[in-house]
Amino acid sequence: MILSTENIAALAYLLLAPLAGGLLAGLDRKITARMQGRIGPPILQPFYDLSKLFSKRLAPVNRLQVPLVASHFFFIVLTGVLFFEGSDILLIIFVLTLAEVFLVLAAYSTGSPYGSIGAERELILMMSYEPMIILTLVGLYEGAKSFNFYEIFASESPLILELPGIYLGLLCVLVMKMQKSPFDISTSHHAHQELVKGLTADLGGPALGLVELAHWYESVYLYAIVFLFFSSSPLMAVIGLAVTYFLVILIDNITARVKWQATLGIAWTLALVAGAGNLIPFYLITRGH
Amino acid sequence: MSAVERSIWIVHYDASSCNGCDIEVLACLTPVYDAERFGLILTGNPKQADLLLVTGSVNARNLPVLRQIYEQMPDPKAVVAIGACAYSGGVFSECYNVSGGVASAIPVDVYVPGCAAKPESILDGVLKAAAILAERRKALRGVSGGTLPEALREAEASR
Amino acid sequence: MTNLLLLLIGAPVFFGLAVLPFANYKIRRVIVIVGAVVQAAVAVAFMAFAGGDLPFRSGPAPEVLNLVVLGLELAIAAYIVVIAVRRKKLLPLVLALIQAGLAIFGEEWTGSAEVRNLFVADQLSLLMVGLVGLVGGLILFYSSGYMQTYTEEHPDVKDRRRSFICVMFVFLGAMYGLVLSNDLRLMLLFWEMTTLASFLLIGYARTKESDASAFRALNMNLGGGIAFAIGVILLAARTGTVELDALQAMGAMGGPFAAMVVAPAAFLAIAGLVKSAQLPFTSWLLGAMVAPTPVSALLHSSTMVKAGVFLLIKLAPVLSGTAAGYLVAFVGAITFLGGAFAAVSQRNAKRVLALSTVSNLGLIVLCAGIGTYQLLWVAFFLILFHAIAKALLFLSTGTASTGTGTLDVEDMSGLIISMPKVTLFLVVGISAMFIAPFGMLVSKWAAMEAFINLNSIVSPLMVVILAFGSAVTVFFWTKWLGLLIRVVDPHAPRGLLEDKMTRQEFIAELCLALLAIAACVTFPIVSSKAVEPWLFATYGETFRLNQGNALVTVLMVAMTVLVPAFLLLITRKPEAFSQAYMSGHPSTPELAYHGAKGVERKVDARNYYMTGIFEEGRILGIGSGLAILFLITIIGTVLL
Repeated sequence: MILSTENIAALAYLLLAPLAGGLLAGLDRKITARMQGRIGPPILQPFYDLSKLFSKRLAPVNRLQVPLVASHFFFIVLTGVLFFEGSDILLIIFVLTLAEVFLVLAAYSTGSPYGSIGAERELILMMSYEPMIILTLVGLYEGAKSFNFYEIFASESPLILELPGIYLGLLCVLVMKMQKSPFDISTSHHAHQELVKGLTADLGGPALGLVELAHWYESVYLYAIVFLFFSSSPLMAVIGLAVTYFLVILIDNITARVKWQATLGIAWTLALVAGAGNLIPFYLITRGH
Repeated sequence: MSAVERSIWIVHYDASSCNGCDIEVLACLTPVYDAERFGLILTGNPKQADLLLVTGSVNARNLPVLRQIYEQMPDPKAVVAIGACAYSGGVFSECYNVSGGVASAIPVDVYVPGCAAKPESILDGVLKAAAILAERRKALRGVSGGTLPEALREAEASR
Repeated sequence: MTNLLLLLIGAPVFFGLAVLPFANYKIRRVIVIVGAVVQAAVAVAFMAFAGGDLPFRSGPAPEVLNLVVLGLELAIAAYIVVIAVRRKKLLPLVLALIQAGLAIFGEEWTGSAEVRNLFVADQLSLLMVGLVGLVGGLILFYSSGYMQTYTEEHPDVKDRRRSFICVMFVFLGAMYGLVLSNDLRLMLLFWEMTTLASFLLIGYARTKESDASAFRALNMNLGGGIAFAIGVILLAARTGTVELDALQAMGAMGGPFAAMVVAPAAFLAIAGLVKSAQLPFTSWLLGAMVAPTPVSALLHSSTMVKAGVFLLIKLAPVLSGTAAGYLVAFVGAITFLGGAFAAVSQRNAKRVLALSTVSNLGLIVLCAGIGTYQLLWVAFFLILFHAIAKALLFLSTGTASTGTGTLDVEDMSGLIISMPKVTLFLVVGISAMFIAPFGMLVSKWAAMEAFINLNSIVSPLMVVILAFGSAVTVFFWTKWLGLLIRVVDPHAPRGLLEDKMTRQEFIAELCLALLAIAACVTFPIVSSKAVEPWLFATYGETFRLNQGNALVTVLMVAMTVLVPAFLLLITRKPEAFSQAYMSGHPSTPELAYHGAKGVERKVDARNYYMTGIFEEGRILGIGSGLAILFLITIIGTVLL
């Protein structure tokens, strides 16, 4: 059986994304620590954490929890695989929503009030970033005339220059998806508890490990989307990715968490002003109106 | 050092401490002592923790709470009792409500002396507990059911 | 073939009348079940026979039919006048008189119109026939069990089930007639019959609230009927025909012919907007939720409100690309957004479903108003998926609320333990409404792609509206879904609240759930066998569903159902479950904890409803204001 480039890429993603995602997470913690004047954990720390989690005994609260978390993991990985297979990324983002819904349902199922609140705050977060993600993908389509990762990659136009507003909105989305301040209203990246980590409060051991692993898979293709903004030249791609990665960490460290009302308000305002404000003129110009 | 020793997540419970030891625990997390470089993270959730750090002594109100936190932690787990009060009740051991140190509620693995204990001692104690955790993980490997003591016995029997 | 068509319309009417003489509930139940099945069988037979050679044209009708139609129109008007006088309501009296006046006055133009085909059926009509037959049949089957429980639970409501079922059946016949009529006067007759049926059924309980809602529905839909009548008269006056397919053909021709027929089409479109409860006419549908569950399911989500968007799709060749068409689309867009936002703050389950219905209808109106062939592909599937899923949701909610005793969504917390079967159906229904890769989501995705490729000035705005609307739907559906599986006490007895569920309810909901999944899995086939030929025949070009994406979608439906089920099956039940996280408080298995002063408190959590932001009155008010502006502009542009 002959494997196409897409098949190889998807396979590479399947096998190597945990590595890449873990290293991204580890580097993140190291840079954060240095910003705070500390030494910080070794870069391989996330792998030690993951290994430790899988060595713990599984203690679920009910029968639904583990299948739901496993389904969450399955669909996140599937989303990434489809993404690198060159499927329509607009459809894929909706599948990503399905994966998130599974995790939210796992939190609801336990009956714990912390789980319920955490689940709701995650839903509010999803509601906050979804318009901007859709506008980002539509913007990429307008710039490159395709929803296929490879075709957008191959397009010559420097998308970051054509879509700066959308990039800004995407940055905001990235801060939310990577669970960082000021929008870490649910499942903060750092170890907080109760209200703010309610989504995973009832998950321990291997279940939590699966969620971590899924997060690594997800961060790889989120950064792949960021990469598409800079894909017109290798140098720009490296700089763009590095700057974005660093900006997310910087924003995390210099801001405090805001209330969920502010999260929703800021995210939607940004989506309207920066996102739609960029997309609408761009669309009209490229289509010659 | 095994992966377990490099990644210890801690839940900290103040039993009836005067907060002196708690402040020192918090100090461990600051840039001066930087516990995170050892892979130590303070999580508030016993379900996600490996190590239970207890300060203060045990009384009637916090006995069931302490027990429940201990039970909610999944195996392998360990307990570090910090300070004099956690060891024996400290200055308050004769009080009418104090029933003693942490060992009167749950099994303790490491005692960190002091009143208040120094951050360096606390970190030292935690790392000793980490080694104990690594041993327990090895004992648990390949054992499916039962609680930890049974698992240890089974591991002994099969060796 | 025409005989089969007449049987299609006549069979439900027959069964409706057949229940009237029988006081014994058990005999009536048999008649209802037989009737539901028979009319469904006739519908399927009609689809099978007519489907081979579409579009089906019936040929002209005898001259006397005009008089019969006129006579029946006046009879309906007279009946409404009598009701209005008896209940002392001025507005329906006036509206009915206007309607009668227009019918008589309009004869001057419409009387001379030649009707070459009384009935015409294309793939869209067959879709509607199928929905009315199968979904309608299942709802009637459901009501044979549900209405018994309803009557027991509401001893204060007079038992008028015989007339209830009779009206439901006759309504089905009217729907068949509506979707198959080519003569617009005949369609208007059936349209008014559905209005009357809706009025009678909403007012079933005869309480002050239901009477008010019934009359509001009656008034608004009578107004819509008047717009319809004006449209027909204008059409006959300008072009000499009253046939729908002629109207469509003229619109497709372009040039001066098309310009002539925009005004009549606009008035018909307004009637469609009223029937589909678009802003500012949404309040009649929201008020109609006081009716018993089968009414809400049949009329106010699956069939009658679909008649409005059905008409709008039929008008697409005329309105597409015109100012009126764009304005209709904007009304749909506002309703889509407003309905979705308002649903966030709703706690009444039926109201959430109603607002979601209005929102989805708004999306269909948006697609029909712009009317390119890609968007009509989307509209077709939106109708299909929404009708099935919403019917399922309404029926399951009806059963659930009988068990819990309230319509508050918060009281459905933990329903998976107390009513596991109903929860399964609710889960299927809710998932079908918003989760990829089920039908509604696929349609929304296709709509977005269609708008992007539309190349129109309004495209980016529509994409933005779609993005915000769909973000909000994830929130309120998942909230409900989560509530259902939120179990505080896992040791509670299972199925405790399910004892009142009748066998008919269970079978109807099961069939709808299977139908929903089947629709999602077979949609590529439906697309290639039915929808694409229909688009080609009407527009000369068709939207070919990308086979790669279709395959992905079908696989994903299978996986979304199978993967969690598989994982659930292989998960070994652990020896003991751990307790839910309660922040270290010792608690009982039911999560009761010792609060301050050692007092034992039960745990409770409520969902966010964000009434500060998404308050229904404010959102629908703003939406209505905008929509009224659009409507006035429509009328202005077509008449000037």
